[in-house]
Formats: sequence, structure tokens, C-alpha cells
Amino acid sequence: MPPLADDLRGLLQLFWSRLARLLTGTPPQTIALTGVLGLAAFLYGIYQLRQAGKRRSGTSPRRAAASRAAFQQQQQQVQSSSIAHQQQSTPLQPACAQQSHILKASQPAAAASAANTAAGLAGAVRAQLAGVSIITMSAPGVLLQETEPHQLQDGACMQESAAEIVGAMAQVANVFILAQVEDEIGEATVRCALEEAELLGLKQGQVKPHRLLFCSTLEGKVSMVRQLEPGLHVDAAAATIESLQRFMPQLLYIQQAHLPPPASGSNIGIARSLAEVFQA
Amino acid sequence: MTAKTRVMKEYKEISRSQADEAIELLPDERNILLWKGLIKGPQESPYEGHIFELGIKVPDSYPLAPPAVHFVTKIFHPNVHFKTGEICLDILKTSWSPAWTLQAVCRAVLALLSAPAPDSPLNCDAGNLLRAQDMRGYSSMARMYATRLAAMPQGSSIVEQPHPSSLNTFKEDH
Repeated sequence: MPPLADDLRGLLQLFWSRLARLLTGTPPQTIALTGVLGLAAFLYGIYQLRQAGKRRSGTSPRRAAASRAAFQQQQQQVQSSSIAHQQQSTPLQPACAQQSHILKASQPAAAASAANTAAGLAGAVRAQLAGVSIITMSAPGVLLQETEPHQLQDGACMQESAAEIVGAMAQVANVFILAQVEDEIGEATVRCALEEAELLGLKQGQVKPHRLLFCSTLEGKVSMVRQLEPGLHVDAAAATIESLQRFMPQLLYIQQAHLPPPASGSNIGIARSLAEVFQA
Repeated sequence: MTAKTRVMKEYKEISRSQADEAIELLPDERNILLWKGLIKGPQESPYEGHIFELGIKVPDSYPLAPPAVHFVTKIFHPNVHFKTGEICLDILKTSWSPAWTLQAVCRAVLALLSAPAPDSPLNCDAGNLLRAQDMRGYSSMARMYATRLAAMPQGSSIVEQPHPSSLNTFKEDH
């Protein structure tokens, strides 16, 4: 090869690498790409694109194989998890259409205990609430440890893991929280406790703040639940459960240790806590 | 006087003096016998801060017969049917007098929002809350539905879609 051509090539390569460094090193806004520089940038761009294209086509078979393997693995995971869900929900299937499937939930679900993670909880809640689009629940005794309106005057404590479960419920249904209180102080106490648990808000998995409702009588609460027409109502007051029994498709009674159960019925489930039903 | 001439007369009066800030009456562009009424929730009622739409249909025999008025915006009120919007108001039924105007009817509906009559409820649950003297529960429900379903002045965006009917299509709207 003649030395002139060699020299030329060397010079061209030097120029090319300089240009490449300039173009990759400076932010695009700082250089005005016009004229010769613009043409050079255009050529460089095409060169880069073609190189990238070659690289991609060169590796594509390997990649495709890898992604196929990953997909198969994923499929297997999905299958196994759906089997787990089936196992979980089988004992909860209603015996007849009218009967509550929440009722059956008080028997501990075997599969759920294995994966007690957030995802497991969401899955369990979703499985048990299939077909329910509105849920109402009374806060005292269900979400809060306090059960009577006068107890809420001094403060309110959340029940263990109630916030998580209701958060999971809020992802699959419209959740309304009701609380019987004596006055504004009671309202503020309940609101504070729920806000502190980050249960109220506009995010996914939160109950919208305006869906926290207050009342001052038990009769009033019954009317409110009837107006809302939920698929499931959860309450810790036996009187409310009894009043609603004729009108609601499903009721879940959270029974306090020292109290007798209310009148039983095929649409009433009984549990000690939300966690007992949905976390088991 | 036919219904149309009477309504036209009322329309002129309304456009001359939109006296009542809480009421806005708009006739249908094509049919003067169809009106839209926008009423502002009265102060110190749970409807405060929200605007409710009324559908008004003037019969051919107006003003001898009363106009047919219903709530287009869903509202939780003992004298309004929650699903159909039907209003139970004596002046729209038995106590109608040709001296009443559309504006006066809207004013009467506003008065009904401030002073619900739980004894003849179209919404039993709202009526029962008031009969149980549970003002807290009644206000709480009325406010919640107003937040969900009624417009806010100045186009605030808290308007929420109604409940989705099935779980599969359910998506949180906020």
C-alpha cells in the first residue's frame, strides 16, 4: 500500500475519532449542528445506527432463546401461583349461591399461611372478595380496638394488621368506613388514627377520605349501610348485624371475646378479627 | 296564554334580572319547554359548596299544570328519589298555583334542601337517619354523595365516577 494512502487513512481516522469524541463528549444543546459539522454529525449518526443494527442482529438468536426461557419460567410461576390461589379459594367456595363465602373463611386457609407476604395478602383478599364491588365496615371494633363511642373520646388505636387488609380490600373494591361517634372530637380521633395508619388518601390501596362516614346512632348506621348497598358489611356490633341480616348478601361479624354471638344466619360470618379471615 | 308565551315571558324576566345567585335557569336551545336548572347547595346544609342540576319539563298546559322537575345530579335527600331523581314537593303536585314561576320552583327546591321533610320520604334511608335524629349520619352521607356526584363551582375536579358495576372493570379513578 502506498505511504500516501496510509497517511491519508491515518489522518482520516484521527479526524474521525476527534469528531466522535467531540460529539459524544458535549451535550447536544451546546453545539449548533449546521453546515459541515451538521453533515458530519449526520454521517456519524448513520454510522452508529448501522453498527448498532449489526450488533443486534448478531446476538438476536441467543437473546430470543434467553427470553423464551425466561417466559417459560414465568409461565410456570404463574401456573403454580394460580394453583395456590385455587387451593386457597376452594375451601371458601359457597355451598349455594346465597350462602356467604366469607363465612367459610373463618376456617383457616391452609395455602395462605405459606406466603404471608403483601402479595399473598392481596391475593387472599382478592380471592375472598370475588364479585364484591362495595364493602362497608364499621371502624370501632373492626379497625380500631375501641368498640364504644365514648371510648373514642380519649383516643383510638388501630387493630393489628387491619390497615394492611383494608388497603388490600381498597384495591379490589370501593371501601366505605363508618364510625359511630359522640361529637367532633370522636370524629377527629377516628380520622387521625386512620390517617396515621396511612389508610386514608387518594392513592391505590387507600380509602378515599370522603368515604369515611360518621353517625351518632346505631339505627343511623344501619340506614347508611342500606343506602350504600354493599356486597359485604363488616361490623363489631351484634345489634347492627341483626338489623342488617335481612338486607345484606354478606355480613362479617367481628366478635369481641366477652360477647355472645348474634343470631346466626347463612349470610353471617363470624371471626375474632379481620386478620383471622384474610390472613389466616 | 299558551305555555310557550308564558315561558318566554318568564325567560325575559330571568335574563333581565338574574336576581338569585343560587339559581341559574337555562332553556334548551331548540325547545323552550325544556329547561336546565343549576342550583347551589344552600349554606349550612350538607350540600353547601356543590352545584346540582335540575331537569325541568314544561307541559303544554303550563301554567295551569305544574312543570315536571327532577334532579339530574344524584342527591342524598329524604324527599328525592336517589335513583330516579324524582322530587316530593307539594307545590309540584297538589299545591301548584299558576302564580308560581320556574324560578320560584327552583327556590322551593332550594328551601327543601335546607329543610328536608323526613315524614314523606322518597329515600327511606335518608328519612330514617333524620327520624333517628342522626344529623351527623345524614350530613355525612349527603356530603359524601355530593363530593362524588355533584359539581364544584369553578370547575374543581373532585367529581368522581359512579360505582363500577363489576369487579373486573373496576379501576380506582384517583
